[in-house]
Amino acid sequence: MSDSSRPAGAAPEPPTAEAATARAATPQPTAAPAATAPAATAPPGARGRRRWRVWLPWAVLVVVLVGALVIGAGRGGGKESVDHRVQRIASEVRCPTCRGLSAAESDAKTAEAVREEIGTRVQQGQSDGQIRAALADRYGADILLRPQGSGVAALVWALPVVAVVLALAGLTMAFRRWSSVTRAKPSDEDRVLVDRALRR
Amino acid sequence: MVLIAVLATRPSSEAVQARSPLLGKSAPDVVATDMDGHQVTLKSLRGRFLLVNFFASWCVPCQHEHPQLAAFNQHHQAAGDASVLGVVFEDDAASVRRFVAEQGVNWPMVQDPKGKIALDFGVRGPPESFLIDPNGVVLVKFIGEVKATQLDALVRQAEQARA
Repeated sequence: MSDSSRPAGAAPEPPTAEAATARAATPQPTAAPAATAPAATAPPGARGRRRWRVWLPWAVLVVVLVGALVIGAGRGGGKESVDHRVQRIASEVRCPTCRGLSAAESDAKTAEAVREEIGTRVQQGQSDGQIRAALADRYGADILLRPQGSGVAALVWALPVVAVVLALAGLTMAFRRWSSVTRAKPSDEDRVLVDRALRR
Repeated sequence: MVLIAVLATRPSSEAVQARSPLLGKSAPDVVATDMDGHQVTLKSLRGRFLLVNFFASWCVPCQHEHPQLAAFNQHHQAAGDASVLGVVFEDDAASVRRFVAEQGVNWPMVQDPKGKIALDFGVRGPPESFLIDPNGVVLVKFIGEVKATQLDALVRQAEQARA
């Protein structure tokens, strides 16, 4: 029951739970107590449901991602056919006489020769690395479309990783600084003001 | 006018010595047939300097280069210290035979129908040449038109180094 409906001169009623809830629901001069009041009064079951509602989409996302990774990894693990392997390696080798084409894409005779050479070496049981090295021993490392993971060429792989790590570190530092600015704790004066407002 | 003057006074194009992973290593073995069907191997040509020249009849720089190769071959044929081996690069036998008949080629010319020899030497396009020493080691890789004087100087230099 509100104060305006009480007859004049009547003794003030003790505060009821409904009144407290209604008071908490009305806009308050300070935001912090208004925000915490419903959570404090909500039953534990409702609080759990609310938490689930926040975390459920993230949990679904994680499950979908992990599932996709597992399925993808499972598909790649099968034995690769000789033709597919030759095509895959040839796609990482530049056609010696073309511009901007891999040995897998080109119809040039030199590209055919590269594919045949790769096929012969695959049949001999050589690894991808051995085949690539054999071609680089003839033409030089620039015959490979994908830079090698050693020497100066390794910088091509390492630099983006370093850049991402530095960017993440920078973002983390920036977020920490911003959150320390906004996370101002209420002073004793603020608490007194809030208490006074709540007692009215 | 300035452009014409610059072009007219430019030195004629000369082969550049190129980097190759083969330099200082044994040349890949070549087993091929010449235009008459005879087998030619690189091993059988050891004991003198050898210029392996990748060529095609459709290649204009190769046509310009031909007199220089002829001069080099003729100069060293008598001394027996150097010779030339031509390797046909992406060309048909009929065109090559016509070129040989018209231009006169005094050195063996082998066919490479599947491009295996070009692949073994890391050739990207004609004309490319490799100077190989009497022990079968690759000394120099040339890209472009070689000059007889350029080759003579290198052979002399290599002979002095060997002596």
